[in-house]
Amino acid sequence: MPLISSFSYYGEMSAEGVTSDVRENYENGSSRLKARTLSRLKILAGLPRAEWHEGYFKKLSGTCEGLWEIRFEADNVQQRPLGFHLSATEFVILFWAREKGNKFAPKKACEIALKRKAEVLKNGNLKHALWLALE
Amino acid sequence: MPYGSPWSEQFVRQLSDKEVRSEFAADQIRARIALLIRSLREQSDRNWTQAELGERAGKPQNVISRFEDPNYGKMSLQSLFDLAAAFDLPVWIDMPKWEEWFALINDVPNQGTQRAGFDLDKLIEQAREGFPSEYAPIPTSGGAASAAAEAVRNMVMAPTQMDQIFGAPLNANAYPTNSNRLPLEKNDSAIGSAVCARNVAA
Repeated sequence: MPLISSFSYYGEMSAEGVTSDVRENYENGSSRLKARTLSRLKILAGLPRAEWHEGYFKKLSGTCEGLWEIRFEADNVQQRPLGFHLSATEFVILFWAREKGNKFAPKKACEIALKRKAEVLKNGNLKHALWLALE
Repeated sequence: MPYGSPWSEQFVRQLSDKEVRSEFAADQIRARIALLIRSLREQSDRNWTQAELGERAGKPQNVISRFEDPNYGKMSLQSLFDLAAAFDLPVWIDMPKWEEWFALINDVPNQGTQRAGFDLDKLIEQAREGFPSEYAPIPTSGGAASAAAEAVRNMVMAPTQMDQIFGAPLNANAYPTNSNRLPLEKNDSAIGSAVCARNVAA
């Protein structure tokens, strides 16, 4: 079955190419973090948006309104990549947050992600096709 | 990705580290069990709540909720049997070759996943009529049955078409599922997958 959804991520262009803390977070992560990231993105990519259930994905509210989080645990830490659906089939990962005691780390995670969301909506060059192959 | 291949070179390279691929394989199964339970519970002719499934499986609602959490991953084999019995479905496990597994994991359980429970009359009828034309057969030799079944499940195909693709006489065994099948003309890539699965067998 072909993938239904695709992912992109926030990154700024520099002389060396794309600079992205989202990607750096993955590249510098443990084997377990890499495996689970790949696994969860693959699962989500195989499902229509309407079936991105809460165990995997959650709409945020309050000061994080306008953002969604991908939810999984790796290395005993709740990983929470934040982003939004640019279209019915494309999800943009804006910032890689973690959750500790029901609070995001860093505390400004939503603020950063919302700022980046506005930037991406103005300038599509700030989002890039996911560096991972999901199939 | 070459036509018909269910995985790319980059995808496989990402799994070159043993620790990564072992954890990836485990997480895929954890997540898929959770999705499968939810899909079967919400199947239109069941449409059970977690509490209703729990009643049938002899477990409280909060335990069903935990089983549907992809991060849980501590379900016992007995619990899996209890849930399968509640759905009146059997369980099948395997440790396939990676190329077979890659093909299998591309099918994510979803709202289109439909699995009817044991139906004595229907099964007897099928036994009497022989091979039911609505189900496609699969090759059973060479350990490629699962991958072939996965490819075949996605299409509706007459036995003669199967002959043309697999180039071998049909086996009398049928793969009894009707989930996620698409008309052949709308899913040409399924032929590529089927051929690929056949190649795996060879």
